[in-house]
Amino acid sequence: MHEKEALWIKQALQGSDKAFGFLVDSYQRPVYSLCYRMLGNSRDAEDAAQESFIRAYQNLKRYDPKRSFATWLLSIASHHCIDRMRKRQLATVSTDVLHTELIPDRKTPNPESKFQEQEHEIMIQNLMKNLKPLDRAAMTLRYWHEYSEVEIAEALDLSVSAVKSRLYRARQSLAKTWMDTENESLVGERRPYESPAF
Amino acid sequence: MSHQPFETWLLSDEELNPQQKLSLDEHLQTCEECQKLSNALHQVNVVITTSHEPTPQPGFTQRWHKRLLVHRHQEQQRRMWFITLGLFGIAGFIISALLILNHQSINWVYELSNFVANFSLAAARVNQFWSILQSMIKALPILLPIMILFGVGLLSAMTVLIITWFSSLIRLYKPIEEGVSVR
Repeated sequence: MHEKEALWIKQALQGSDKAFGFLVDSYQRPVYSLCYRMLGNSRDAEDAAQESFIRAYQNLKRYDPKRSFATWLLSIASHHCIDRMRKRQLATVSTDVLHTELIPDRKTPNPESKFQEQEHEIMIQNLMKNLKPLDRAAMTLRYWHEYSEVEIAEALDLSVSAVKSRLYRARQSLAKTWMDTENESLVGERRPYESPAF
Repeated sequence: MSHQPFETWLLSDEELNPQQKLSLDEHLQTCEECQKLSNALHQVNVVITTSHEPTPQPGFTQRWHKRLLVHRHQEQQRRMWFITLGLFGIAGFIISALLILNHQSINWVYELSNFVANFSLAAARVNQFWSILQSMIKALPILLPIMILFGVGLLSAMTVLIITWFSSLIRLYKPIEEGVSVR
């Protein structure tokens, strides 16, 4: 573990908010990114990431220094997001939220690339919408955080074989959604050229 | 056509040995379904690996510090409520126990309703007193300068009055000097 990180944890354990603030500063990106991939929009991601850090601070005494702090944090964030998804039934992410937040700002330096980025984001969310919360967490940790199956198992409190089967099922679902979307878009493209049915 | 073990190989994360790879390539050339699956998985992989990393808005840590303060305040309030309710519960339990022990022959329904009515009345009064106290505390910053001004005025008037009173008493009891006539 990083020396500074160990010191911040020690100081935070003694009640220093400032020290834990440094940890928040260091890990805000991976935690936010995980929450965003899980919940699908920036508003919920911000809220979930903030809440995850508060939970981590409250339960810092339970942290085992032998484990990776990042894995422990992402484990808290994953469980929090899974709970939120189950409670609010966000397994199917509302693309309305995405569309409203994805309108490019005119002041953005490169609105075209921003728009493409946002289109890409919609595509990812559409692909992930059919995944169950736990499968989604496993996929997010595997592909966006490049965690091994063992690390995912540790973060999600699952066995390695359970992680393997969840990843297998998730890939199957993603491939199916991709093929379905492709078929739909092909039908949609063909429709204007079809001869009217008399 | 059987898609196994090719479908499993495509969907699992396991590394394939050269023989398995060869066998899979041969199968993909003949099986349209597995070919579609392989293409779809490849496309999904491309979409995922080329995506940008979402980042929070600037000032995330500052917002977290603020949220922590709010969270602590809420926790404190929740704890206070639990303590208050717990104390009321214990008090209610003790009073009920005393009533049971001391008044064996009284009308229980009447006593119980009487107790509940008195308890709710007391709770309402405590609540009323608390709201009055709160409004007084809230109004304190506005009233404080006026009260200080009034107090200082009153104190000065009292001081002047006391000095006048004492000086008149001194003059009254002062012995009259000979040859000086009192007018």
